[in-house]
Amino acid sequence: MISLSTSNAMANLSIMIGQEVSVENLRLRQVSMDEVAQLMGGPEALTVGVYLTVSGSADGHMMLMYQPAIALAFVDLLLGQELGSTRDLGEMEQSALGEMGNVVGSSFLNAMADSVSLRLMPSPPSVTMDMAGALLDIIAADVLLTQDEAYIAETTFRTSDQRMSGVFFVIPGDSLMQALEQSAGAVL
Amino acid sequence: MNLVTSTVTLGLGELHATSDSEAILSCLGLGSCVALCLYDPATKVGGMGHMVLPASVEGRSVPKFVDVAVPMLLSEVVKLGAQRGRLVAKLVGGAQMMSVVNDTLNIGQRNADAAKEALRQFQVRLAAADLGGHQGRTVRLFLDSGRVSVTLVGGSSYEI
Repeated sequence: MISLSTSNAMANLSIMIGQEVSVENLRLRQVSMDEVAQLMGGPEALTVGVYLTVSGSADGHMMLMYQPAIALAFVDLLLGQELGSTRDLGEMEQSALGEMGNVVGSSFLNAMADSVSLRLMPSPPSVTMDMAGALLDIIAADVLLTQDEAYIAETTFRTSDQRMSGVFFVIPGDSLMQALEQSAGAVL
Repeated sequence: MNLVTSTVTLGLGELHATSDSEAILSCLGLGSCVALCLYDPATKVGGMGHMVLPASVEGRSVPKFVDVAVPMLLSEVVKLGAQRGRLVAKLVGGAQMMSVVNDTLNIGQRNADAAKEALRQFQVRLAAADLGGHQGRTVRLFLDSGRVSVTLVGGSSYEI
């Protein structure tokens, strides 16, 4: 189910940036929040995060994370500019990345909502560039309130020419996790 | 001469106390989390806590919660020879990383408030604090002197 939702999200991302996007690995696993930061090169690694929350009949978090250079290149693709044109993240660049998060997040949720018959809505995206650990704290604070580890769906995606990649996390909250477990059994 | 300095990096919700005056304790990439640094300058005993949430949920007495971490770290440094009356505390972190969403939660602010309140309650002097804002921080406590350094994205750093 998460696999279906992810391919739906990546298909829409592909349309948006006008390049084929492949999902390199899709993993569902139970991890400590410390481990999540390691995926981005450690808690101090400079990272661009596009964060959305899930609300409606169930709750959760979604975050797209990129290395800064990749985020800038994605902005070029989104704005139809030559690669290398974007050099920093101003308001317009942040809004372009936010829109990308919106498309990926909404299409993921739509596919999932259809299969579990829930009403799931993404929040407006929030775009921030800072240390990976600091960006993940916002999710950690919520997850660690009730659990010691996070159950995450982690996707590495890449454009077909291999130039751009990112990580897309979905971290279901308690209520979304329950809904997933109750519906149809197999989550993947 | 011992040239090997032991650096301990604390993950989310971890505590570490030491009497090794060469040690460096650190929390990397703090956002809304708060690092508590405790230090006794006379014995050079100190400790650090990487605290994630302000208040414990019933029955979960683990140091990711500020109200559990503060007394727990206090008792650990005292066990290693620190004297309560001499201890100084420094607090770092408690930022609000995403300003648009989850504003009502403002977990960083609540962590910072809870930490200050706990130090008052246990009568530990708060010597310095670098709290709030919208930036991630890396914090290091140097046990040889008790100095605390804060590093921001891009590498700029300062002492508190």
